[in-house]
Amino acid sequence: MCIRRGELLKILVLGRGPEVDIRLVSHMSPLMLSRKHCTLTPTADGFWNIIDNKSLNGVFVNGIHLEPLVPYTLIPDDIVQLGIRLQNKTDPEFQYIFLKEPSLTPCHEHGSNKQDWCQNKDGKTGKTDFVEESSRVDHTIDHLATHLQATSSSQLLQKQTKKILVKGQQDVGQNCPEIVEQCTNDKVNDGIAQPGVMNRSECEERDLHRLNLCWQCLVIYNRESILDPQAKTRQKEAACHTMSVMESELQCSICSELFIKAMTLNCSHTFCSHCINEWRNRKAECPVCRKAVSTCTPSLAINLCVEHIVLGMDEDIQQHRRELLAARTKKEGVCVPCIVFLFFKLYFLF
Amino acid sequence: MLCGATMASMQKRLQKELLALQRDPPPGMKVDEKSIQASLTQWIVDMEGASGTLYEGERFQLLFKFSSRYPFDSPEVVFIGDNIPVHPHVYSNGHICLSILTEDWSPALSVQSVCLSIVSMLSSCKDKKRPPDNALYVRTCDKNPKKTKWWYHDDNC
Repeated sequence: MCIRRGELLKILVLGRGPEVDIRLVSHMSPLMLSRKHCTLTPTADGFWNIIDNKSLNGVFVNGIHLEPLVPYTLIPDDIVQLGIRLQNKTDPEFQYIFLKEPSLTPCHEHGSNKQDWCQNKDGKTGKTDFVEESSRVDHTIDHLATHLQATSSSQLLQKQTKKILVKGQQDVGQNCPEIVEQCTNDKVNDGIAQPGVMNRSECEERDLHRLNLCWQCLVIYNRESILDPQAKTRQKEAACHTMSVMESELQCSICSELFIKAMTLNCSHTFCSHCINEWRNRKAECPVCRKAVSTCTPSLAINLCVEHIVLGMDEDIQQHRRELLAARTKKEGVCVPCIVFLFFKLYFLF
Repeated sequence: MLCGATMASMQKRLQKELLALQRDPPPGMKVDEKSIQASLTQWIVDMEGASGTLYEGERFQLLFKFSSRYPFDSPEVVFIGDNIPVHPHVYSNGHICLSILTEDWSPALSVQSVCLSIVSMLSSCKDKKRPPDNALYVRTCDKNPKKTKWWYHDDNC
């Protein structure tokens, strides 16, 4: 997501509701963000304020939960997090870095104004650095294109970015048709307008300080989209880690399968029901600690946990498990003493 | 007749143990991959005497045989090859007098833990000699050491 400061100093509302400026939809948890989650307000002195609109899951800046309705002035490199991190994820879904982008400082075309402005701007270094407007526009458009690329990994985000950019284009279009025309001529194929190109006449009217502020570009990147390849690798690693933990912790030490009908002994060691029954026929002691078995209780929590995990696994594993379960149930079903017992019972009944 | 469930559990266990032994073998141990058939019922493990012990530099071979009831039944473990360690608990035909191989077996034990037990049994030996009843036992015993009624009396070695 890239939000740029326009000259209008528009207040932006972010949230999942229909009447917001930037709509954010969570793919993981639909109610993660509130309808009007937070507000970004450009201040007159060139900064942005973020306000938590009493949202359910809150706004965090650098990990600190903001007080609802109390404005916080963002400074570059602040990490803004909307909503909370889900338990099974390493990163929150809505996390952004607040960046200031100095490279988009514009130059003005008009002679005197340009000189003054540039001097004012670069007064400290004593250098005036003027670039022809057309090339400058080109440059900025290129720059913008790279921004879009950076954010384009998420389609939704791209759409949002485009929406914002298009809005910018319309503003500019009303005020300054020539520049838009130039942009379109130069970069038709990009399909991206330059939202930051200022209305020339308005620029002249404003004082230089204000101009400078208006041109200040504030960019919020979606951190996830920038770090996308890395994030994917991290997710994979996390998944692998979870798998290995499961393999070792939720496995029966007798059959080396994920527990099937887990039973916990009085010594707290757990085995499959089939495995421990088989072993108890030979010896009534725990296979791990050799403590005498006095109780053998089904572990509901472990069973549910394993079942849920298996549901998310490959079809092969699920199939293997079904076969195993069938084989074990079958074996229990054809217990010879039970059949004999049943037979005798029926015999005596009639 | 082999029960499907037991057979499946045995296969998975043996596969897992083999992988673990290949990936992370105890020091001086190596599974002889050529000796392992598709059914995984028979393995040969090459082992070295631990350094700093009486068996340093010696090489032995252990033969593991798994029944279809493994891991509920213990594996059959004997020394094979030219070099049978001279040890008070190892007979010259390769049979080992070790309680975990028979009555103290537990299905939570594994090939790896058996190997470690045997290495530690060898390492703790102070006097290299055959068991006192070696000649008689070797003449009269069954081929399968699990058929022997072992008498575990010495816990020092």
